[in-house]
Amino acid sequence: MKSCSESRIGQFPPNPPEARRRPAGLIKEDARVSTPTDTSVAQNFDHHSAEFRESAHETLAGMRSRCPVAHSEQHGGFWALLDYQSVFEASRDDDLFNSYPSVGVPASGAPFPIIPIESDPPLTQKLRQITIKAFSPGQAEALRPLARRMATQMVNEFIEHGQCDVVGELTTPLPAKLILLMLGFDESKYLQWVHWVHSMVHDRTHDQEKAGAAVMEMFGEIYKNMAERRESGDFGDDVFGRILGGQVDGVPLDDSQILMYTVLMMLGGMDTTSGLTGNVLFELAQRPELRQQLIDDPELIKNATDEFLRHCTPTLGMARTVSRDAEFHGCQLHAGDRAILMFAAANRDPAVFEDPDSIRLDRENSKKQMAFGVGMHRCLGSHLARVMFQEMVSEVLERLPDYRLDGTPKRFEDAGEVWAMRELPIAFSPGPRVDVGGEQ
Amino acid sequence: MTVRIEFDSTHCAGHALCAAAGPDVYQLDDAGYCIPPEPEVAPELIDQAYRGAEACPEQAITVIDD
Repeated sequence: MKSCSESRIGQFPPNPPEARRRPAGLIKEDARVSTPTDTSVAQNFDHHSAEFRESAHETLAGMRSRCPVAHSEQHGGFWALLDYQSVFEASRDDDLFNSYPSVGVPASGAPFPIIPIESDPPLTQKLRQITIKAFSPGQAEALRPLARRMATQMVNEFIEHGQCDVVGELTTPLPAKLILLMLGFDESKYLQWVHWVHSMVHDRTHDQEKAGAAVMEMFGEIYKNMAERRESGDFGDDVFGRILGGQVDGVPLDDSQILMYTVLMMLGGMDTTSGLTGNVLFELAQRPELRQQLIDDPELIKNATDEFLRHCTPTLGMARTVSRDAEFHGCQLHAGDRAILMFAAANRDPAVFEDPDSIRLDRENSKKQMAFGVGMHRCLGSHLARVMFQEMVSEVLERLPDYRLDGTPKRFEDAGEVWAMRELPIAFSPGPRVDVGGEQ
Repeated sequence: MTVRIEFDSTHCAGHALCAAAGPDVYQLDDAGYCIPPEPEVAPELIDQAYRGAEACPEQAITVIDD
């Protein structure tokens, strides 16, 4: 199988200029790939590798400028869709690009599809209906004060020390606890859930046994909650209650569907929002002017969210399975081929976003970002993710305005699906605890 | 200036961003999908019509300047 034709070279502007004012050696994501063997770069492209983690955007930009629909020989072979147009089109063509049976390369290894994400229309919409109202813009707004109180409380725990791991002590626990609360699960066990989810996402390619064990423990806990809720005779009106009572065409979800739907709530809730927030806090640590802009005008964060989603996209890509032989953007796809829709690469496509490696809060088309995906599978929790992100960043900028990196930030070893910080140690001027209004 | 809205319901995926950006022009049904808006837009709502169309990730809404 050949990658797309070399004639595409020159279709896109040359490598974008380096972002200005970036201290040397801190991150290596500027689009400058000068290897003479770009074809082999594509062929050997492995989104789960350590090399990729260290230079994710550099690699994606280099591949995109050569060949926006590239083919890798890794993991049994897969296409990587890298420019805005191909990712946008593939995302909206569920008929050619199927989400069932798996959105991972390699496939997740779970015994059942993770729903609704690993389903296809019309089932997708019917599955989404079950919980969509709980994630509406209005519901997300209603949860904003709670998200802020949680952030205030978590910052209280470390603000007197002058240092913390802001990922481990704020951006990880907050979304995890909030989704557990929404599900009606015991949020005090959040660390256990986070461990399971992180293992499922980040260990599955390199340590299947570890990931498998974590997944089985998580399944056990969800089944336990399922049994308890049913025994109580009341499903409840929380998100887990909606899933338990969920139906498709009048047929109740079976136990494995309830299980995998709940798993997806955990995956969505516990990994990605923290990933975005950690990535952004890392960027702000290195861009004092940008940070000052946000401190001077606290309302700015709401409009800035799309630009941060575009630049700091945590979910790099999602995979599909090609349903039939077809030509797509000059490439011959075959039924059964796997293809990763690289949202993070599309979000830095210089054909759509000028100077894409810069964070520009006045960028006019940031809203076109596809960090949440696009099409029928677009992130169900996007409104809630925005709210949590905004409240966490606002709390940090208000109470730790002079924070700086304090030690070496650590990314998750495997950035294949989610490119995110595992640890982000920071130091700051100690401050007082503040009263947390309202009830938790 | 008059404008009209073209709405492509096959591409509406229920993201609800149109209603958030242009609440007086775009309304959602119970499931969260956009109810086909009136094509004619009152002059005072033109701004909202454009903002809702720009907010749609699916490009399902087009505002046409007649």
